[in-house]
Amino acid sequence: MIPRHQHYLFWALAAGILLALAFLLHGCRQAEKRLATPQDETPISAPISAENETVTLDLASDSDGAITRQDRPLAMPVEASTRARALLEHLLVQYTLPGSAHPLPSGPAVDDVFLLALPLQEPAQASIPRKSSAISMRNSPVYGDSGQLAVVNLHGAFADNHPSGVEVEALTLDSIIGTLHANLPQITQIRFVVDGHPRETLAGHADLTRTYPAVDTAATRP
Amino acid sequence: MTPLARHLALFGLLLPAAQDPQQTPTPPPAPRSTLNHALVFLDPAHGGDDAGAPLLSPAGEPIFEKDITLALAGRLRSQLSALGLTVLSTRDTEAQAAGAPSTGAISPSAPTPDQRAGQANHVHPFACIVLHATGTGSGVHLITSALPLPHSSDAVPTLLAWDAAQAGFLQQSDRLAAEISTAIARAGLPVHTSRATIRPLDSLTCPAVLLELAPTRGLSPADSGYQARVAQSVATALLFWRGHADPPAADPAAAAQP
Repeated sequence: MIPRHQHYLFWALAAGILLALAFLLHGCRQAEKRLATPQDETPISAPISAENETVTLDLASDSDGAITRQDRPLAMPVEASTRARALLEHLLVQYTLPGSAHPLPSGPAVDDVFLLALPLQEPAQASIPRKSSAISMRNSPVYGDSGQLAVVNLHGAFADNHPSGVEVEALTLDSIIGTLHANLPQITQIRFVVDGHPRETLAGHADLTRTYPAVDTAATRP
Repeated sequence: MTPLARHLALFGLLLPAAQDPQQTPTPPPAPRSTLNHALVFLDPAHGGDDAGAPLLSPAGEPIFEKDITLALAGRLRSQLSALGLTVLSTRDTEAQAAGAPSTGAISPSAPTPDQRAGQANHVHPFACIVLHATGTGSGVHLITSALPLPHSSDAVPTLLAWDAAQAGFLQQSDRLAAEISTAIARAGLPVHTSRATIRPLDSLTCPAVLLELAPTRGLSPADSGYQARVAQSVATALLFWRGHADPPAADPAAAAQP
């Protein structure tokens, strides 16, 4: 014969176990929902005293292969290379937002942007005769010997996780080039490195060994 | 022949050379076509260890870009051969049926982009088609080189840099892309053209277009019906283009330079 108080204790413990199970299941479902929902990873505004200014972003769209210009208010640093880096970070964060027309994986994208005054060589050595603008395009300043060369150092994880394809990779590069051209007109040429080293392609297609001219890519695309 | 007739004949030969060239300018000789108007060059991108972009087959199974480009090249080769054109491909499709999944038997040393361009430039085809596939975007992407046009719009220098050899053929490539775009649009498929800096496109000395298949209207690039429609459209466009492809004129000024 089991005493009555042990009956009560047994049923109380059984009810406690069921409640704990229900709580655990609820917690698991909440965690799953949280992981499955795209995160808005827009960085929190830095506590700086700079005033907002209007910057121009060249935003890519995968559906029609177009690049459209949009003006955004943004607090920007004063120093040019820091400004270029902040600009590109802000641009690439747009592509990680839910509903982006050119979705890219979230995470750090641009490590640094270095600005170098042109020409890079001594003037006597740089005077190489050229027959056409296309001939000496690669690896040397050919789109004008003035202005600045921007070396964009991309994060390795960004390049590794970038969607693979000719058009999608070209759109990312054109978006970066157009945005730099629109906001920092002193930049005349752009090169890309990944984790500080030269790399053949962005994600298997777009050529990263070239020096790109800083041009209005929104105008050159449909 | 009598001596008088011999003198008259000699006089007749020397007379044009003695004339003032300013009074009767000699027209420049028409550029001799160096393109083989019966040959199409296909480059199914990637291969071997280079699998390209990962995609999904219509059944939802993983498939790589190299398999899709090979299948598309096979379909295009069949269409072009039926039209009487000769096709040269950077990757041999003889041992592998079009559309079949890769068995991993392909040599791990697929041709490099420079080797692919070298093969094309050696045979002077009237059209070079580089084939790609992707899981992003929509429809058919037709891409031509983003190299800047040479200073003289109709002339190319005799000496070309390897990475900019396509510069002299840019206008031809744009026209070829327009022909293919029209044919694909007629087939009811979405298509858009753009420019990009991609190897080996920039090193090709032929009218060259990069064709990238992207998903459209629920169709995967691996879908055989989708590939067949694109292949038929491209073959029709190439048949028309065959009679319109001309090499760019040589630049006499550049030729005169040491």
